[in-house]
Amino acid sequence: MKHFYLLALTFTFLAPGLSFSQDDFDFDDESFLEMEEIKTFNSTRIISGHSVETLPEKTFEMRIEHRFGDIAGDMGGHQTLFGFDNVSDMRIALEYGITDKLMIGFGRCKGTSAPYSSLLDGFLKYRVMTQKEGESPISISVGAGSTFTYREASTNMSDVAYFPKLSHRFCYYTQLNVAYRFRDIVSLSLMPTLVHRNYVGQNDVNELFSVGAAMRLKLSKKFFLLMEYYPSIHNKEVRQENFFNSLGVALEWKTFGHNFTINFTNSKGLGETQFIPYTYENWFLGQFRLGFCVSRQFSWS
Amino acid sequence: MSCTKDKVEASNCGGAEEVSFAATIWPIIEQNCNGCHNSGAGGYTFDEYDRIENNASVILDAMRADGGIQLMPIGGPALNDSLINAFEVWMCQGKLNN
Repeated sequence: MKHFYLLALTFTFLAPGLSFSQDDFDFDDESFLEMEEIKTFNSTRIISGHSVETLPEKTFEMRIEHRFGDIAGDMGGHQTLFGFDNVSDMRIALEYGITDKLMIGFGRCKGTSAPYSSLLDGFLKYRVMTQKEGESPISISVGAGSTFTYREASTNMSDVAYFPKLSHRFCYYTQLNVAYRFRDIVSLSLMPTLVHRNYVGQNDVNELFSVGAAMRLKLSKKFFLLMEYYPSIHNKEVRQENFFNSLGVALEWKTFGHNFTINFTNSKGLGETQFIPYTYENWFLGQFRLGFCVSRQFSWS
Repeated sequence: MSCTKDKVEASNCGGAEEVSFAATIWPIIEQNCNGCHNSGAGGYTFDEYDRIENNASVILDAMRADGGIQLMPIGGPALNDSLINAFEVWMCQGKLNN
């Protein structure tokens, strides 16, 4: 309780220093759309994975991402209100633009329990180049991150969550993100990604490579259609029999300072170390789910 | 933080005898879980082998209230250790449909 009061007191004093954009702008005002430079993607994420974008310098972003249960199939349907009764995963994160080109982020995921839960994550992303007429034909960024699960270790030796060593709780990923924008109508992105898991199933691979691909299509000034696909490249039987590639489609709504994404994806987990190696769900069996992301940018002064 | 390339080790599952799904596992599930989970309670249905096999880790975690998962059967008491151990050995032996 003492900690709660301390936290409340701290926030009370710090709150006036936080500048939220909606104090200065009408939420429905569209003038920001004219003022803002055209971006390849509107957010630092596409659906599940990173986009080429980084946050502006000295800008914070609070993100809340959510994945519900299966819409259809054995675990969906009207009994679960098409997945609304179940939470597959949820991530809350605070991210920050150190410069216009370098950003950092920290988050906490519920995890899907297959096999991870109680996940902490952190990442760095650097913008190498930005598409600009006469300067660069494409945008490129590189990123790397890590996740750590603090779930109680399973007592079952055959379980990936058995974690004989502390290091087995860590996973890493690194990604190259190359994107091209055709005016403000279509954006395309390729995201070669390497995921390394320190501890995996007996027949699984520690290093998994995936070449993600994504597209953004402008529907109107504020609305965009997003698609994202992460095929894993491997020849292991166990992966071909038990796992699926992550595929998502989304509708994005852009407002000043806010960004909303409503998506449908077969992946339950959030974060590259979950949705790339651990997507067990098949779109064709109705094992896809509704999800959303709400992000909010703000500055300290 | 360090990088390792470790895998779940092959085990003899404590030298236990083969656990039968039909004779041991199915009765545990039917008597202790399917009061609720025969029709999708909490998003889980355990009315056949495939669904039990796919969710075995979650079931074991729930039996032990492990990994932040609520103890099942809901409201307790927990199953006795011999039943949980049988389920664990069945998983360790490859979740056979025998």
